[in-house]
Amino acid sequence: MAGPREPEQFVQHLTAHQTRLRAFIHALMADWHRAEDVLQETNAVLWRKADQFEPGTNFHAWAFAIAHNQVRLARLRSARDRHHFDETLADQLASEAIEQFADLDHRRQALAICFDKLPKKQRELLARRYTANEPVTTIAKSLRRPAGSIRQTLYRIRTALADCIGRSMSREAGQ
Amino acid sequence: MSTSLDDRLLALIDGGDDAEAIQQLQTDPAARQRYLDLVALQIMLHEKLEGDAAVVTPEQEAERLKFRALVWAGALAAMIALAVTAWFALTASDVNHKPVSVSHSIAMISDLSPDARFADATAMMNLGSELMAGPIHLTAGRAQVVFHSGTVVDLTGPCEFEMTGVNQASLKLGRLEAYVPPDAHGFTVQTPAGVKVVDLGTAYVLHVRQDDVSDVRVTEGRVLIQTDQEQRELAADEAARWRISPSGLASLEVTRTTARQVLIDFRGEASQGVNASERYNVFDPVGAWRFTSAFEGTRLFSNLHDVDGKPTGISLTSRMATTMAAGIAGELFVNPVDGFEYNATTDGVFIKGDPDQHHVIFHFDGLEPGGKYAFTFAVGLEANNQVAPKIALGASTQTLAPHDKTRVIAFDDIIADAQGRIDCTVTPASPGVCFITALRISYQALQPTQERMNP
Repeated sequence: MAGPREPEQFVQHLTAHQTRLRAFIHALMADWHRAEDVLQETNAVLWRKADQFEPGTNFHAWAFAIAHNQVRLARLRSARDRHHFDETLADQLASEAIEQFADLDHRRQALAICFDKLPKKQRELLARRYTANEPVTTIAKSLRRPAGSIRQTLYRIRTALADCIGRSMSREAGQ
Repeated sequence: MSTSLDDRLLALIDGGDDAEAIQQLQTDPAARQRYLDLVALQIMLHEKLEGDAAVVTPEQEAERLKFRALVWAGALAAMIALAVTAWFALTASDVNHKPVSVSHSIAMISDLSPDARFADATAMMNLGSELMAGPIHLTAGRAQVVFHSGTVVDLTGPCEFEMTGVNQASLKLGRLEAYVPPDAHGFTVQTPAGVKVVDLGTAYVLHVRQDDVSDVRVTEGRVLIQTDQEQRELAADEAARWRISPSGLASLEVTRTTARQVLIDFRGEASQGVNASERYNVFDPVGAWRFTSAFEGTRLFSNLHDVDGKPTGISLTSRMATTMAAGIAGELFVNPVDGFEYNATTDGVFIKGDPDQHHVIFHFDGLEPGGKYAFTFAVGLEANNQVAPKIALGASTQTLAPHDKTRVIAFDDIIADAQGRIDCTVTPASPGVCFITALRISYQALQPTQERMNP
């Protein structure tokens, strides 16, 4: 039965790369539940193929290649469903994401700082949406605001956060 | 960065459909970069804020546990691997000469398939369990037992196996695959009616069937078959088949394939294929993912080699008759398929479409005119994709019953035409995608061997 040559190290790699792999798969699929399924399948394949991974080589590239294949396979299986992206675009995004997602740790640190800078009300709104997983319509009803307006507010918060992270990353790169 | 593009991209990330945003992604690298940033943000926000949750919904908890379970399983496997190594270091020595003692551990469970079930539910049949001499009744699934001697035995349920000593066992029913390292030569398996299978340094598959016909097929090295009247030695690629009647052993026949087997592994892009590629013909996966037309008139293999690496002159061409898509897929399958090497069954050729409308033709050429062949297809089934291929070969059409665990479709007595050709048509048995992961072609001109071994 296949297994990693250095299991502890492999589990560490796998754990450390979860966010990256998740972002990568979500970027190619843009369908939350299917992307989560593919992430689980990818983890299973990575574990099964672990003996093929050479310790010391690029885990990131290896894992992303396997994740990419799993995304392709998921597309193939659900050929009757609509796809957001055609194969060419998905491939293009995949090759760019490998580089762009290489270092999410710094982005995560930046997010923590940017998040704390948000007004309290915006943080509360994000918590309702992401922590409590309330649908936009439910939030809108309880705040007596149109759903479209809540959606727009959430968009603006996310845009602001992305801009803040971007500034923080480019400051860091400039140092 | 315009707000409207951000809004569009965010809507797309939230599962919306926006043709204009997609078009912009196709043409504008900056839009793609922003999109990827926003996806990363979305994931990080989820992870950050879900982690903050004081109250987690059962659904969210289940999602998280899924991954934890995986990591835990990984860590467990790691511990087992270490334990096995230590166990060998401590116990592997001179086992053939140790006196048999029933009170001591003589083997260990080294692998279990997830569906493995034992008749005796109270027995400690867990991964890593130390085993004393005694029976193992496997009702379903697969189990691997490592003897202290180093002998590895793979059992496939239903199977009645008993460990009777440090390097001996009996098989009343079922399928057993044995790998015996040089130090453990002499590993002996007793089967019904007094037929003994003695290893002379080897790998073999022994099958004791309910209908009282048993056989042993040697894959490597040599094996000795001992009955009350005689003994015969089998070499690699030789097989013995015997039948027992109420009065005892009724017949024993040794056979040998005159032409060797041809093995094909349809491997995928990121996969390394089988390790023993000198035994397998391995599909060259370059560009394999361009699947929509890849199979139209494609020569997949010319001059396939046999399991010893000798050329056979047999070639394989694929023709997509009317098929939505076909090609090679990688990283597919978790479970091994009986009778094939594990790695050979982890990738496959896929065929997508509707039965009766879409199919691919595999065209075998260069076979012996009028020769009789057996074809064995390893079928790939996944948890969420249970569509089996329907394969037509000669006058016979076969598929797999849903959830058939053997995942093998086998044809016997397929006769090549006067030009040495055989056509095979494959279609999904129900609308969807089906997979074939590996293929074995055996020439069936079986001839009894005349050799007898001097006792």
